[in-house]
Amino acid sequence: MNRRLTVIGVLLIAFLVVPLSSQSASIKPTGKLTILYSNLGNESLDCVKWNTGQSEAIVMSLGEPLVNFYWKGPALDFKPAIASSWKISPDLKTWEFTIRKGINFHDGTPLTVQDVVFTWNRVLKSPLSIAVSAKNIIKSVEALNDKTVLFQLNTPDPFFLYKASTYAIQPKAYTEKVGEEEFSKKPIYAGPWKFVKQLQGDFVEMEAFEGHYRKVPYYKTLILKIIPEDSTKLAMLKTGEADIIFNVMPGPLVNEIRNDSNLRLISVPSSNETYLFMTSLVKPDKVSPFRDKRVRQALSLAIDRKLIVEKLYNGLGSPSFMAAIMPYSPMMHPSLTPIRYDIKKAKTLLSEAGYPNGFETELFLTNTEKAEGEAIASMWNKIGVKAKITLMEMGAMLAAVREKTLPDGLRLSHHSCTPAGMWYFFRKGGHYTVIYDDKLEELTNKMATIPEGPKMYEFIKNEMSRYVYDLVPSIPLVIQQYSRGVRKNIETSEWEKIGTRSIFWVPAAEYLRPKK
Amino acid sequence: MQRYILKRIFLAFVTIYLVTTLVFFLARITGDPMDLIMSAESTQKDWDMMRHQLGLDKPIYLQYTDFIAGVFIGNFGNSLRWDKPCLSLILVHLPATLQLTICALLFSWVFGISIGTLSAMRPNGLMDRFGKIFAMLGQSMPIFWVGILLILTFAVRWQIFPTSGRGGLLNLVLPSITLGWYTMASMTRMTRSSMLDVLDMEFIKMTRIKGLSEVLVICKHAFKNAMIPILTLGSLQVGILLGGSVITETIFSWPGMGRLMVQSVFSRDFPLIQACVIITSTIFITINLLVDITYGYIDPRIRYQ
Amino acid sequence: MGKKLLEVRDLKTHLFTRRGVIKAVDGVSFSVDKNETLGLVGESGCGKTITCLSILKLLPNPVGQIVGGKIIFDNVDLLSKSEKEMRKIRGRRISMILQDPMTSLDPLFTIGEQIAEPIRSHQNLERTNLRKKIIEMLKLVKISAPEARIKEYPFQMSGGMRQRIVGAIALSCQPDLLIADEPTTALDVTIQAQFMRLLKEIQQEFNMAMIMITHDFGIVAKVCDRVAVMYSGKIVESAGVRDLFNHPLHPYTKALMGALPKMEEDMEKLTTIDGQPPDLGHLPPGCNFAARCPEVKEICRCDSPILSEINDGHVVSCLRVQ
Ligand SMILES: Nc1ncnc2c1ncn2[C@@H]1O[C@H](COP(=O)(O)OP(=O)(O)OP(=O)(O)O)[C@@H](O)[C@H]1O
Ligand SMILES: [Mg+2]
Repeated sequence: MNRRLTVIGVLLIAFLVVPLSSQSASIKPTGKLTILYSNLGNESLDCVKWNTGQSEAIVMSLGEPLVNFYWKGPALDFKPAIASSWKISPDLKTWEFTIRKGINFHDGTPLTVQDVVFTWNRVLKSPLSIAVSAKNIIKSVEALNDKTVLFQLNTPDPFFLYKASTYAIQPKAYTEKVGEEEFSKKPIYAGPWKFVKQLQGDFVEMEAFEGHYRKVPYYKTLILKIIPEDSTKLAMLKTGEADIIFNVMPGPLVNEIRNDSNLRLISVPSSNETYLFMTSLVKPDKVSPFRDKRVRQALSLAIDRKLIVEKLYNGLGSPSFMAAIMPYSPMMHPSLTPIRYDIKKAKTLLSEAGYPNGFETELFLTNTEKAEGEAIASMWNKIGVKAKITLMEMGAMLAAVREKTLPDGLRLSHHSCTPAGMWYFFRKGGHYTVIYDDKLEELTNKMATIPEGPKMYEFIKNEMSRYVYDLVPSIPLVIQQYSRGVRKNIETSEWEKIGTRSIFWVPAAEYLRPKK
Repeated sequence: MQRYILKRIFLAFVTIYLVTTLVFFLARITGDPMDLIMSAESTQKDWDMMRHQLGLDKPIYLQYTDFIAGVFIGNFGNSLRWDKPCLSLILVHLPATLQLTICALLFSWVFGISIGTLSAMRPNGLMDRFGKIFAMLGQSMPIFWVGILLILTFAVRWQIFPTSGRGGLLNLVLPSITLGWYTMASMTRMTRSSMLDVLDMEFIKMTRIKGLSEVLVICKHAFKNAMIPILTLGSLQVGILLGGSVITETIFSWPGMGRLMVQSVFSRDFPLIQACVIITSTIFITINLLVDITYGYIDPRIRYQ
Repeated sequence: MGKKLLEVRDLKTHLFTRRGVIKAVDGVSFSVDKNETLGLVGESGCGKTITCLSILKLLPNPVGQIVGGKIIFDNVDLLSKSEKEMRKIRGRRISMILQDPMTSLDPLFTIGEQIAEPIRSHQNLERTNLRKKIIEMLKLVKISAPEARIKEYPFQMSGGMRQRIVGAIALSCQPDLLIADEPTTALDVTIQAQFMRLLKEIQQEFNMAMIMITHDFGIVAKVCDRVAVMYSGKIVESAGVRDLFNHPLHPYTKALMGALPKMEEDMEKLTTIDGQPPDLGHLPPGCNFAARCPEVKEICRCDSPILSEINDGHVVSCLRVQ
């Protein structure tokens, strides 16, 4: 084992760590907080079995991962959690996490390195999709001593912190005692909320964990409730049966909330971009008009993003500039400007590329994306590009995208504007590759030798952003803005300050408090 | 009568078996659940392992025989989506659906039958006109719209009832009305026409000639004779509601079978789809059986066949 | 003849249908004495049934309404009685046998129960006595093995038996007046005769008055004391049986008697009355029968005849006769 780690990881603890049990002595948790979701994924209570971002809301409220990350403004913000600090080897293949002392599980037993190793070894054995990206690169997880856990990777990974944040740590002793089956019914974790009960397809009830090291919740009871229907959500919010609609999708709900004096619409930034990728470019050798950069630029110029944001997103979003790089973030070069909606230029570019009269292509969509696809197709019509809309069922779509069998055309998709995203999209041969471009791949690989942080952002800004902007590897559309409908009797300042926890769905309800 | 009942019971079992088989193969037409479970990055090993875990690696006829054998001992396997035994998932959702179904049917039958009867007693009278409009509204307004309307008026504006969710008796009122109104419409019409037919019969005149009170004429003679089509419709309605009115359950966030079934279809959760269909159809078939037997009790001509 | 039991005076019953007002009964007067049998004769659709249902105030609801006249039963005007009071009269004092024995019984109840119902609502009998009474009634109408039959359902019986059961029901409270609405048209000839004989016997035993509706003069001859002939909502002639058969005055009566089938004659020679009775919704001016009358005069087409007594107890409404 490599004991000679060169420490280049910065110890972040000093000013970031929230003082232990800052307010637990003074305030007793009271009251009930009900948060509404459209769905909670597979609603698993098992920290390695959740399947979609939505189900993370449950396990990440109950549990605490090694590292918490928050999306704040245009960048990620990693905060020590169960790991109080971490070190990274220069080759980015060995990650060492120091486990914080004095963390207890909900049943009062202390959390040790053994629990961390136990949890992560379960991850490595799981065939489930969500575990895949982590386990495919981890060689081993082991305890170095009683306060350090060592992760050895197969390949260098500058984004490992992100992966380290995806699994809550579970108690080894308890899990082994009751068995995995029973654990998934009555789980115990070390997060700010204790599990009380669950009804599949309906709700999960939790209770404040008063022994939490980071933040004791202000509310006594937290209920995450599944309400698929928007009007019902709104009615519940209006009557006070619920306190928060966690995700207000663009639509009539937005104005309803804006117009109600008891409610607020709180918009939070997200890293999520809606974009279009070219189905032929995900493979190296398929002939396609999109191989020509000018065609991609033309299609991009012919989209009126402002109109789309206004009409289809109720203003909850902003035009995106370029693939996978967040506009106005430390990763964007200051010389870059929003893409102008310019049909004339688009036409010129198309003629130069040999398509003066445009061409025919296909737009692959699932049912929920129809409106957006139709809007785009009608805009392209003006430059002669006739995009036929092909609707597919979700499962079939997933399979076709995975196997890269979609015919030549474009597919609407969403991804995260983070360096990790770039790493997935810009290298050849990956599952999420959007383009085969030598220079882009070379730049991306170079970026990935720097651990995620200001230095990496600097590199992206200076070396990559202008190139990506010009290359148009995928057609950028909209940076989504997430919105929550909140009752006015809830104090949200602390919650808004902390940012969006994890990918997006985790409620971070411990930072919400009743207004006096 | 005994032979009649035995025959019905035998037919019920055959039907359940056929439904079971049918749903097994139909569920598999929806596609491969693995598409939804696995990620793009999953390796072949992950795929094989998952397939094996879910029992999807066996040939289809073996899957089928395993499945039938399981059904016999009440084992429907684990839900792919929730990773819990299907039966236990159903057992937590079924009471909600039963409760809603029973209340909705009570509402629809009590009102449907009384309005229908009163309408038939005075065709084109005040009650008949009111009943016609009421029924027409119930049948023509989309359930979705009725639900939202009731929520907005009674839960948001007047705050008499909770907007949604399962809980006390108050929670039941709005969803039962929403669901019951729709079925009530057809019940009103069926009762009215069936009663009109019966009231026109000579034997009803005869009961009046005997000097029987109107209550006896209507409730004893006319109603019993009008009962069979009403019962038939009623048992069909039970079936419709048991399948769960997905829309009502969605609007009122009612944790019942309807939502469970839709979710299981969307996630290609074969075991759960199968279990839901088998359980609801078994209940439905049982109710039909009971209704068939009741026919026998009501009508001696069926009994003495 | 004895005292008047029922007197119908100028009864007008109209049916307010969607297609217009049908004057089904248009100024009918007749009377029935105690113990007497009145035959009510006329073509199909002339208003016989409606007349009788008017007496019981059981008209098709809400179409039928009595718009005028008096029905005096046992010295009281039934039209002034409330529904509740009428219910006490129906089944107990006035009873009726409906036209069709096949549909007059409720298929879902045992015949025992159906006979018990009127007894239960009009008399206070305890269980065993009630049962005795039912069996007695079944015996009265000559049903064999009545104890076993009590538990049977209508579908298990023949038409003739059913008609007798209907009889048992109608007679169960010993009514003062029995209206029998073509009680035998649905039965075959031998059973017709049996049933008529039975009714006659029971009438004798109970001291009962009867209104026998029929369009069969054969039956009239056998069972009736007096006859009223009805044509399109009106009585056109009324007389004692003998009187009528010997001296029919009204052309319609004569025509009806001519139409009477005689068993010994060839069935093909059966004479019928030409033409159709007028539409009761749109009656022409003058005599209703004018259009079909073989002896019609000019005056018949504009003046309406009135009922007037020609001989003692023989009344007729015909301009030609008067
Ligand atoms: N419920 C009803 N609605 C409308 N019209 C009716 C109704 N019942 C009887 N009528 C009409 O009233 C008239 C008299 O009918 P009614 O039944 O009294 O005739 P009837 O002399 O008894 O004939 P039949 O010998 O066929 O029994 C007929 O023209 C008939 O069409
Ligand atoms: Mg008649």
